[in-house]
Amino acid sequence: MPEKIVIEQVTRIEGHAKVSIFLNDDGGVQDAQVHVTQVRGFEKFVEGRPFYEMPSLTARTCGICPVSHLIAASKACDQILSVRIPTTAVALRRILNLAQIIQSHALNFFYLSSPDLLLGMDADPAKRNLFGLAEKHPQIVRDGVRLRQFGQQIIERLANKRIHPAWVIPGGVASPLDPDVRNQILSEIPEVKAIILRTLDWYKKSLSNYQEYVRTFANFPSLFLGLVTKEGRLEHYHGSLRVVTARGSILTDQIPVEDYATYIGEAVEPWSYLKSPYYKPLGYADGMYRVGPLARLNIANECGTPQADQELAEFHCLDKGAVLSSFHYHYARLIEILYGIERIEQLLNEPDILSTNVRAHAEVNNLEGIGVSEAPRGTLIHHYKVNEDGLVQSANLIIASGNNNLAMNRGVLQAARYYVRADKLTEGMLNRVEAVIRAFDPCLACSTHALGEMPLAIELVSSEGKILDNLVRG
Amino acid sequence: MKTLVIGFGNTLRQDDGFGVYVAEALAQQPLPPGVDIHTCQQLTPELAITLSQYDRAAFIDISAPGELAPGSLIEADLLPQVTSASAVTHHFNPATLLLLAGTLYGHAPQARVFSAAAGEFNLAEGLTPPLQSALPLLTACVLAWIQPS
Repeated sequence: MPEKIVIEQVTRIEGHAKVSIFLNDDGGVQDAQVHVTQVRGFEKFVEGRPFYEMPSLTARTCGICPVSHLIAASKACDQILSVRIPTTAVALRRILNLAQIIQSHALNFFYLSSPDLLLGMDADPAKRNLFGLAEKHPQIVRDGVRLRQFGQQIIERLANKRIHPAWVIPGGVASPLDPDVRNQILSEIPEVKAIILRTLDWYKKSLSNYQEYVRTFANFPSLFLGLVTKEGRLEHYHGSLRVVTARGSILTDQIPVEDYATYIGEAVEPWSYLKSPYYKPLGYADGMYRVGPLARLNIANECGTPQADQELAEFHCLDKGAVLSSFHYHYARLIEILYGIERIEQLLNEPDILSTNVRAHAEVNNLEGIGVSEAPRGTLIHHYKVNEDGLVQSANLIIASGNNNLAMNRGVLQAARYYVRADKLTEGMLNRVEAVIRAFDPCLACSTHALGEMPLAIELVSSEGKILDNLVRG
Repeated sequence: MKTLVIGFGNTLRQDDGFGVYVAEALAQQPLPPGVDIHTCQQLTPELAITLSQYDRAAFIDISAPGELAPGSLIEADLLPQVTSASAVTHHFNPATLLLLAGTLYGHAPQARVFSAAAGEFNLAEGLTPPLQSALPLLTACVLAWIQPS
């Protein structure tokens, strides 16, 4: 008689993330670790599935950024089909990806991070949330809600569903763009552009209030990695990989995405289920790099849209080389929202955008496919090997949030060394550690519904291994 | 009078999709003028914009199994308030959404929740038998409520 096997992740009862802070003999902070305590197993359970199921299967990795997985997976499947998809399909996929980035960045900035920025890191946790913000700064919340709605509605209008749409498919997209939808989106562009421009204006004027966090929130040298165009422009859908040093100089450029494994290694630490990718030529862990909006703006020569280019020029003036503080992920997100709105407008005005030729059809012509795109949180890589029947033999996914794992851990250590002064944790300290993690906007925050009270446990560990204090929330 | 019916839940988690199925059943019925049906997997802050444009709202949900037998019907009027300790994006419930609509957009509709006690939330599609039986009953309740008085 078959037995039912139940595997329980008991540690999940303490939340999906745990931070350990290790003290030295003098009571100072020696080390810190961010433990991601959830097991997903997608790479394993997709084995044996038909390749064309991969976009829908891997989109279930996340409820916040399923579009990113749809796109990376479909691009990998395009390679398995060995097709060059129609240019209109590329443009429509780009619009969907940018809409995803807009809604995701709006969620992080307005819903998750603004309570800290506007109400204060030490504000009453019961009020340090969207409702507390709505009472004191209703216009900011209205702006955030509208921007997120704009991104979500584009996804819904193009793909018929906001969450887990199945519109992006191997070979292109499932249906062409409706002219009414195009006109509707274009009519909303002036409103959302005005929102992001006034938000940027407010944020830049407020930046002087956050200098302590700029100094202490994961502010250290690292590499920066992401996609760029041939001209070195900001790129979220296609292009090649570029790596930039902390000084802002290009270390490696125009790496074909198919060669990612030559440059990116994946280390495993026993204290976390999240892998630690690193830049292979420099080894582990000197090859620590950052991805996502901060990295994308650090590696890009220009955006390619007029107002975002003006903002990028200002952004590049924040530091002499690359912009090193992870607090500036917030600033970078706002610039990317502006870029996304401008770029969507450009794409919707392309002459072929209403073409009905949006899909290429083929059978399995290649036994391997690699799809890379820029998700809201960074570079996302899907790599599949299939047999001649198109059944997946192996899959390797390098998730955007994972790329930042080493840097996020270093950032938590930096914040702990700055804010932990005694053997007693305070709520304000916990919130600052959360805020460092939140600046990176890891998907573990999304998947655990984080805002103001990320399900997070922090342990303070003495040099003898004794747990001195423990705070758990969520 | 404008009325919005929101059926929400995850149809991949068995009875959790109850609200969606009821809303879909309602959409097949002749409805009075001014009634709109909306389905979604979860309640998000963006819905506050939509809600503020209606006079009345019906939220169709499923309740965690407690002392009530699976399929038992539950109805209650809703007031705008924060009922969840963590006001987070995925945790929005009807009452917090109403509060957000009122705070941000100056109007929260008169609202009522229609629900049923769940049987199972397993990884499966379709309702358990008690909720299959409850579906037409709750659909009739909502249909009666949305009629102009």
